Amino acid sequence: MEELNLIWMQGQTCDGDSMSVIDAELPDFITFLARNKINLLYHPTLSPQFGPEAQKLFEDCLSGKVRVDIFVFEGSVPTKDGYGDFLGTDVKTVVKNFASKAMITVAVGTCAAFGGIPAAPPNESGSMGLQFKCYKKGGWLGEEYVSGLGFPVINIPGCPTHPDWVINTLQSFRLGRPVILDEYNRPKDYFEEKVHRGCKHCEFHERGLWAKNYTEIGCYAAELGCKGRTTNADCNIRLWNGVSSCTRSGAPCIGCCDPGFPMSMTPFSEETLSLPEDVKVIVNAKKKVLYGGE
Amino acid sequence: MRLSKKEQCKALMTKFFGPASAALVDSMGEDDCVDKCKTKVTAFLGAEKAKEFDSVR
Repeated sequence: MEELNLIWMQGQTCDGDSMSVIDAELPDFITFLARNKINLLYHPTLSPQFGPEAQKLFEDCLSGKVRVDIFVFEGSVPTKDGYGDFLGTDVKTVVKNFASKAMITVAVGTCAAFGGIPAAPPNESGSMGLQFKCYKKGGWLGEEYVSGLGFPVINIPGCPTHPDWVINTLQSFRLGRPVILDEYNRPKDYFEEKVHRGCKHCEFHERGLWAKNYTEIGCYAAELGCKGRTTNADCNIRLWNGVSSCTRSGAPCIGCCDPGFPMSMTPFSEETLSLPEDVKVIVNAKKKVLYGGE
Repeated sequence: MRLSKKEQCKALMTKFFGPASAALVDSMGEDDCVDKCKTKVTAFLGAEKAKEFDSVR
Protein backbone atom coordinates (compact mmCIF):
# COMPACT_ATOMS: atom_id res chain seq x y z
CA MET A 1 0.00 0.00 0.00
CA GLU A 2 1.39 3.39 -1.00
CA GLU A 3 1.74 6.11 1.59
CA LEU A 4 -0.96 8.78 1.35
CA ASN A 5 -0.32 12.43 2.08
CA LEU A 6 -2.83 14.29 4.25
CA ILE A 7 -2.80 18.03 4.66
CA TRP A 8 -5.01 19.68 7.29
CA MET A 9 -5.76 23.38 7.03
CA GLN A 10 -7.96 25.80 8.87
CA GLY A 11 -10.17 28.78 8.10
CA GLN A 12 -12.34 30.54 10.65
CA THR A 13 -12.26 28.03 13.44
CA CYS A 14 -12.07 27.62 17.18
CA ASP A 15 -9.78 24.59 16.72
CA GLY A 16 -12.41 22.40 18.39
CA ASP A 17 -12.53 19.79 15.65
CA SER A 18 -8.76 19.39 15.74
CA MET A 19 -8.92 18.97 19.50
CA SER A 20 -11.68 16.41 19.14
CA VAL A 21 -9.83 14.37 16.53
CA ILE A 22 -6.57 14.54 18.49
CA ASP A 23 -8.53 13.10 21.44
CA ALA A 24 -9.55 10.03 19.44
CA GLU A 25 -9.21 6.72 21.23
CA LEU A 26 -8.83 3.18 19.97
CA PRO A 27 -6.88 4.07 17.98
CA ASP A 28 -5.58 7.52 18.77
CA PHE A 29 -5.06 9.83 15.81
CA ILE A 30 -1.30 9.33 15.45
CA THR A 31 -1.57 5.54 15.67
CA PHE A 32 -4.36 5.62 13.11
CA LEU A 33 -2.18 7.58 10.70
CA ALA A 34 0.80 5.27 11.22
CA ARG A 35 -1.21 2.06 10.84
CA ASN A 36 -2.79 3.27 7.64
CA LYS A 37 0.36 4.69 6.14
CA ILE A 38 -1.03 8.20 6.08
CA ASN A 39 1.64 10.87 6.17
CA LEU A 40 0.47 14.02 7.94
CA LEU A 41 2.13 16.64 5.79
CA TYR A 42 0.87 19.56 7.80
CA HIS A 43 -1.50 20.30 10.66
CA PRO A 44 -1.61 23.78 12.24
CA THR A 45 -1.48 22.38 15.78
CA LEU A 46 0.63 19.27 15.38
CA SER A 47 3.22 20.22 12.79
CA PRO A 48 6.59 21.70 13.60
CA GLN A 49 6.82 23.47 10.23
CA PHE A 50 6.39 27.21 10.50
CA GLY A 51 6.90 30.27 8.31
CA PRO A 52 9.18 29.73 5.29
CA GLU A 53 9.39 25.98 5.88
CA ALA A 54 5.61 25.63 5.76
CA GLN A 55 5.46 28.02 2.81
CA LYS A 56 7.89 25.80 0.89
CA LEU A 57 5.79 22.73 1.64
CA PHE A 58 2.62 24.41 0.35
CA GLU A 59 4.42 25.52 -2.81
CA ASP A 60 5.66 21.97 -3.38
CA CYS A 61 2.12 20.66 -2.96
CA LEU A 62 0.68 23.14 -5.43
CA SER A 63 3.42 22.61 -7.99
CA GLY A 64 2.79 18.86 -7.91
CA LYS A 65 6.19 18.06 -6.40
CA VAL A 66 4.42 16.69 -3.32
CA ARG A 67 1.15 14.81 -3.87
CA VAL A 68 -1.96 15.86 -1.93
CA ASP A 69 -4.15 12.81 -1.46
CA ILE A 70 -6.38 13.94 1.39
CA PHE A 71 -7.20 17.59 1.97
CA VAL A 72 -8.91 18.21 5.31
CA PHE A 73 -10.30 21.63 6.02
CA GLU A 74 -11.57 22.86 9.37
CA GLY A 75 -13.48 26.11 9.87
CA SER A 76 -15.54 28.21 7.52
CA VAL A 77 -14.20 29.98 4.44
CA PRO A 78 -14.24 33.79 4.70
CA THR A 79 -15.00 34.92 1.17
CA LYS A 80 -14.67 38.69 1.67
CA ASP A 81 -11.23 40.19 1.15
CA GLY A 82 -9.18 40.92 4.21
CA TYR A 83 -10.58 38.21 6.41
CA GLY A 84 -7.88 35.70 7.15
CA ASP A 85 -4.85 34.49 5.28
CA PHE A 86 -2.55 31.54 5.39
CA LEU A 87 1.09 32.60 5.22
CA GLY A 88 0.25 35.52 3.00
CA THR A 89 -2.37 33.87 0.80
CA ASP A 90 -6.13 34.36 1.26
CA VAL A 91 -7.81 31.40 2.94
CA LYS A 92 -10.33 31.25 0.09
CA THR A 93 -7.51 30.93 -2.46
CA VAL A 94 -5.74 28.30 -0.37
CA VAL A 95 -8.94 26.23 -0.26
CA LYS A 96 -9.45 26.37 -4.02
CA ASN A 97 -5.80 25.53 -4.72
CA PHE A 98 -5.62 22.50 -2.45
CA ALA A 99 -9.10 21.20 -3.26
CA SER A 100 -8.18 21.19 -6.95
CA LYS A 101 -5.21 18.92 -6.22
CA ALA A 102 -6.79 16.55 -3.71
CA MET A 103 -7.98 13.01 -4.30
CA ILE A 104 -10.50 13.52 -1.51
CA THR A 105 -11.54 16.72 0.24
CA VAL A 106 -13.02 16.50 3.70
CA ALA A 107 -14.78 19.33 5.53
CA VAL A 108 -14.39 18.65 9.22
CA GLY A 109 -16.86 20.35 11.54
CA THR A 110 -20.07 22.25 10.87
CA CYS A 111 -18.25 25.50 10.02
CA ALA A 112 -16.25 23.88 7.20
CA ALA A 113 -19.23 21.86 6.01
CA PHE A 114 -22.04 24.42 6.11
CA GLY A 115 -20.65 27.74 7.37
CA GLY A 116 -21.64 27.25 10.99
CA ILE A 117 -21.18 29.96 13.56
CA PRO A 118 -19.03 32.37 11.46
CA ALA A 119 -21.73 32.30 8.76
CA ALA A 120 -24.47 33.38 11.18
CA PRO A 121 -25.75 36.96 10.75
CA PRO A 122 -24.34 39.52 10.32
CA ASN A 123 -21.65 37.34 8.67
CA GLU A 124 -19.33 40.25 8.01
CA SER A 125 -16.66 37.97 6.58
CA GLY A 126 -18.98 36.42 3.99
CA SER A 127 -18.32 33.01 5.49
CA MET A 128 -19.61 29.78 4.05
CA GLY A 129 -18.86 26.09 3.97
CA LEU A 130 -16.67 24.44 1.37
CA GLN A 131 -19.61 23.22 -0.71
CA PHE A 132 -22.66 24.35 1.21
CA LYS A 133 -24.00 27.53 2.69
CA CYS A 134 -26.40 26.28 5.37
CA TYR A 135 -28.86 24.01 3.54
CA LYS A 136 -28.00 25.39 0.10
CA LYS A 137 -25.54 23.53 -2.08
CA GLY A 138 -22.80 25.58 -3.69
CA GLY A 139 -20.58 27.07 -1.02
CA TRP A 140 -17.12 28.33 -1.83
CA LEU A 141 -16.07 25.52 -4.18
CA GLY A 142 -19.36 25.47 -6.06
CA GLU A 143 -21.97 22.82 -6.68
CA GLU A 144 -20.01 21.07 -9.43
CA TYR A 145 -16.80 20.47 -7.53
CA VAL A 146 -15.56 16.88 -7.31
CA SER A 147 -12.22 15.68 -6.02
CA GLY A 148 -9.79 13.39 -7.85
CA LEU A 149 -11.62 10.34 -6.59
CA GLY A 150 -14.96 11.66 -7.83
CA PHE A 151 -16.37 12.75 -4.49
CA PRO A 152 -17.91 16.09 -3.67
CA VAL A 153 -16.60 17.61 -0.45
CA ILE A 154 -17.24 14.98 2.20
CA ASN A 155 -18.98 16.81 5.03
CA ILE A 156 -18.34 15.57 8.55
CA PRO A 157 -20.16 18.17 10.63
CA GLY A 158 -20.49 18.56 14.38
CA CYS A 159 -19.54 21.22 16.87
CA PRO A 160 -17.16 19.61 17.40
CA THR A 161 -17.13 16.61 15.12
CA HIS A 162 -16.90 13.14 16.68
CA PRO A 163 -13.37 11.75 16.20
CA ASP A 164 -14.76 8.40 15.04
CA TRP A 165 -16.67 10.05 12.20
CA VAL A 166 -13.45 11.48 10.78
CA ILE A 167 -11.15 8.54 11.44
CA ASN A 168 -13.63 5.90 10.30
CA THR A 169 -14.40 7.80 7.10
CA LEU A 170 -10.71 8.04 6.24
CA GLN A 171 -10.28 4.41 7.22
CA SER A 172 -13.02 3.41 4.75
CA PHE A 173 -10.91 4.84 1.93
CA ARG A 174 -8.00 2.68 3.05
CA LEU A 175 -10.06 -0.49 3.35
CA GLY A 176 -12.00 -0.18 0.11
CA ARG A 177 -15.27 0.16 1.95
CA PRO A 178 -17.73 2.31 -0.03
CA VAL A 179 -18.55 5.72 1.41
CA ILE A 180 -22.18 6.59 0.73
CA LEU A 181 -23.21 10.20 1.23
CA ASP A 182 -26.61 11.71 2.10
CA GLU A 183 -28.21 14.78 0.52
CA TYR A 184 -25.87 17.07 2.50
CA ASN A 185 -22.82 14.98 1.52
CA ARG A 186 -22.46 13.51 5.01
CA PRO A 187 -21.42 9.84 5.27
CA LYS A 188 -24.63 7.89 5.85
CA ASP A 189 -22.83 5.52 8.20
CA TYR A 190 -22.81 8.23 10.86
CA PHE A 191 -25.56 10.64 9.86
CA GLU A 192 -28.47 8.45 8.85
CA GLU A 193 -29.93 8.09 12.34
CA LYS A 194 -31.47 10.84 14.42
CA VAL A 195 -29.80 11.83 17.71
CA HIS A 196 -33.10 10.76 19.31
CA ARG A 197 -32.28 7.14 18.48
CA GLY A 198 -30.68 5.53 21.50
CA CYS A 199 -31.33 8.51 23.77
CA LYS A 200 -31.90 7.30 27.31
CA HIS A 201 -34.80 9.75 27.59
CA CYS A 202 -36.72 8.13 24.69
CA GLU A 203 -39.20 6.35 26.92
CA PHE A 204 -40.21 9.68 28.47
CA HIS A 205 -40.70 11.16 25.01
CA GLU A 206 -43.10 8.40 24.04
CA ARG A 207 -45.11 8.93 27.23
CA GLY A 208 -45.04 12.73 26.94
CA LEU A 209 -43.15 13.25 30.18
CA TRP A 210 -41.14 16.43 29.67
CA ALA A 211 -38.22 17.63 31.78
CA LYS A 212 -38.43 21.31 32.74
CA ASN A 213 -34.83 21.75 33.84
CA TYR A 214 -31.43 20.46 32.71
CA THR A 215 -30.42 17.07 34.19
CA GLU A 216 -34.03 16.41 35.23
CA ILE A 217 -35.57 13.02 34.46
CA GLY A 218 -37.84 13.29 31.39
CA CYS A 219 -37.54 14.15 27.71
CA TYR A 220 -35.84 17.46 26.87
CA ALA A 221 -37.84 18.12 23.70
CA ALA A 222 -40.97 20.09 24.60
CA GLU A 223 -39.76 22.33 27.43
CA LEU A 224 -36.02 22.56 26.79
CA GLY A 225 -36.01 22.55 22.99
CA CYS A 226 -33.98 19.37 22.42
CA LYS A 227 -33.22 19.02 18.67
CA GLY A 228 -32.46 15.31 18.89
CA ARG A 229 -35.59 14.35 16.95
CA THR A 230 -34.68 16.48 13.95
CA THR A 231 -30.89 16.24 13.88
CA ASN A 232 -29.04 13.48 12.07
CA ALA A 233 -26.08 12.01 13.97
CA ASP A 234 -25.40 8.78 15.81
CA CYS A 235 -24.33 10.51 19.06
CA ASN A 236 -26.53 8.28 21.23
CA ILE A 237 -25.54 5.06 19.51
CA ARG A 238 -21.81 5.71 19.14
CA LEU A 239 -21.49 7.83 22.29
CA TRP A 240 -18.72 10.32 23.06
CA ASN A 241 -15.56 9.12 24.78
CA GLY A 242 -17.36 5.79 24.68
CA VAL A 243 -19.65 6.71 27.55
CA SER A 244 -21.92 9.68 27.03
CA SER A 245 -23.63 12.26 24.82
CA CYS A 246 -25.20 15.68 25.26
CA THR A 247 -28.63 14.30 26.16
CA ARG A 248 -27.18 11.55 28.36
CA SER A 249 -25.27 14.12 30.35
CA GLY A 250 -28.44 16.09 31.08
CA ALA A 251 -28.48 18.72 28.34
CA PRO A 252 -30.70 18.97 25.26
CA CYS A 253 -29.26 18.41 21.80
CA ILE A 254 -28.64 21.78 20.11
CA GLY A 255 -28.57 20.31 16.60
CA CYS A 256 -24.90 21.06 15.93
CA CYS A 257 -24.68 18.59 13.02
CA ASP A 258 -27.58 20.16 11.13
CA PRO A 259 -26.71 22.31 8.10
CA GLY A 260 -28.78 25.14 9.59
CA PHE A 261 -26.80 25.28 12.82
CA PRO A 262 -26.78 27.63 14.68
CA MET A 263 -29.47 29.92 13.26
CA SER A 264 -32.15 27.29 12.59
CA MET A 265 -31.66 25.99 16.10
CA THR A 266 -32.02 29.20 18.05
CA PRO A 267 -33.39 29.87 20.56
CA PHE A 268 -31.79 26.63 21.71
CA SER A 269 -34.31 26.25 24.54
CA GLU A 270 -37.32 26.19 22.21
CA GLU A 271 -38.53 23.78 19.56
CA THR A 272 -37.65 25.39 16.24
CA LEU A 273 -38.19 22.65 13.65
CA SER A 274 -41.25 20.53 12.99
CA LEU A 275 -41.05 16.81 13.68
CA PRO A 276 -40.11 14.85 10.54
CA GLU A 277 -42.70 12.34 9.27
CA ASP A 278 -40.38 9.34 9.73
CA VAL A 279 -39.88 10.20 13.39
CA LYS A 280 -43.67 10.62 13.88
CA VAL A 281 -44.26 7.16 12.42
CA ILE A 282 -41.64 5.54 14.68
CA VAL A 283 -42.87 7.36 17.79
CA ASN A 284 -46.50 6.39 17.15
CA ALA A 285 -45.56 2.77 16.47
CA LYS A 286 -43.51 2.57 19.67
CA LYS A 287 -46.35 4.18 21.67
CA LYS A 288 -48.76 1.59 20.37
CA VAL A 289 -46.48 -1.35 21.18
CA LEU A 290 -45.40 -0.11 24.58
CA TYR A 291 -48.53 1.54 25.92
CA GLY A 292 -51.33 0.44 23.62
CA GLY A 293 -52.16 4.05 22.70
CA GLU A 294 -52.17 5.89 19.39
CA MET B 1 -24.21 -9.36 -23.13
CA ARG B 2 -20.67 -8.31 -22.42
CA LEU B 3 -20.24 -5.12 -20.40
CA SER B 4 -18.07 -2.31 -21.71
CA LYS B 5 -14.78 -1.54 -19.98
CA LYS B 6 -16.33 1.58 -18.53
CA GLU B 7 -19.23 -0.38 -17.07
CA GLN B 8 -16.83 -2.90 -15.54
CA CYS B 9 -14.69 -0.10 -14.11
CA LYS B 10 -17.79 1.55 -12.68
CA ALA B 11 -18.75 -1.66 -10.93
CA LEU B 12 -15.30 -2.00 -9.37
CA MET B 13 -15.11 1.66 -8.33
CA THR B 14 -18.54 1.34 -6.72
CA LYS B 15 -17.34 -1.73 -4.87
CA PHE B 16 -14.19 -0.02 -3.60
CA PHE B 17 -15.26 3.56 -2.97
CA GLY B 18 -18.97 4.00 -3.64
CA PRO B 19 -21.20 5.53 -6.32
CA ALA B 20 -19.43 8.91 -6.24
CA SER B 21 -16.27 7.35 -7.66
CA ALA B 22 -18.24 5.33 -10.17
CA ALA B 23 -19.69 8.54 -11.59
CA LEU B 24 -16.14 9.70 -12.26
CA VAL B 25 -15.69 6.90 -14.80
CA ASP B 26 -18.29 8.59 -17.01
CA SER B 27 -15.77 11.31 -17.75
CA MET B 28 -13.11 8.76 -18.81
CA GLY B 29 -12.63 7.16 -22.17
CA GLU B 30 -13.22 3.48 -22.97
CA ASP B 31 -9.49 3.05 -23.67
CA ASP B 32 -7.98 4.80 -20.67
CA CYS B 33 -10.53 4.09 -17.94
CA VAL B 34 -8.86 0.89 -16.73
CA ASP B 35 -5.44 2.49 -16.25
CA LYS B 36 -6.87 5.60 -14.63
CA CYS B 37 -9.02 3.63 -12.19
CA LYS B 38 -6.22 1.20 -11.44
CA THR B 39 -3.88 4.07 -10.54
CA LYS B 40 -6.41 5.50 -8.10
CA VAL B 41 -7.13 2.13 -6.51
CA THR B 42 -3.42 1.32 -6.25
CA ALA B 43 -2.77 4.58 -4.43
CA PHE B 44 -5.53 4.13 -1.88
CA LEU B 45 -5.91 0.39 -1.50
CA GLY B 46 -2.68 -1.11 -2.77
CA ALA B 47 -1.58 -3.16 -5.76
CA GLU B 48 -3.28 -6.34 -4.59
CA LYS B 49 -6.79 -4.91 -4.82
CA ALA B 50 -5.94 -3.07 -8.02
CA LYS B 51 -5.28 -6.46 -9.65
CA GLU B 52 -9.06 -6.82 -10.00
CA PHE B 53 -8.78 -4.42 -12.91
CA ASP B 54 -6.59 -6.91 -14.76
CA SER B 55 -9.70 -8.92 -15.59
CA VAL B 56 -11.38 -5.93 -17.26
CA ARG B 57 -11.41 -6.59 -21.02
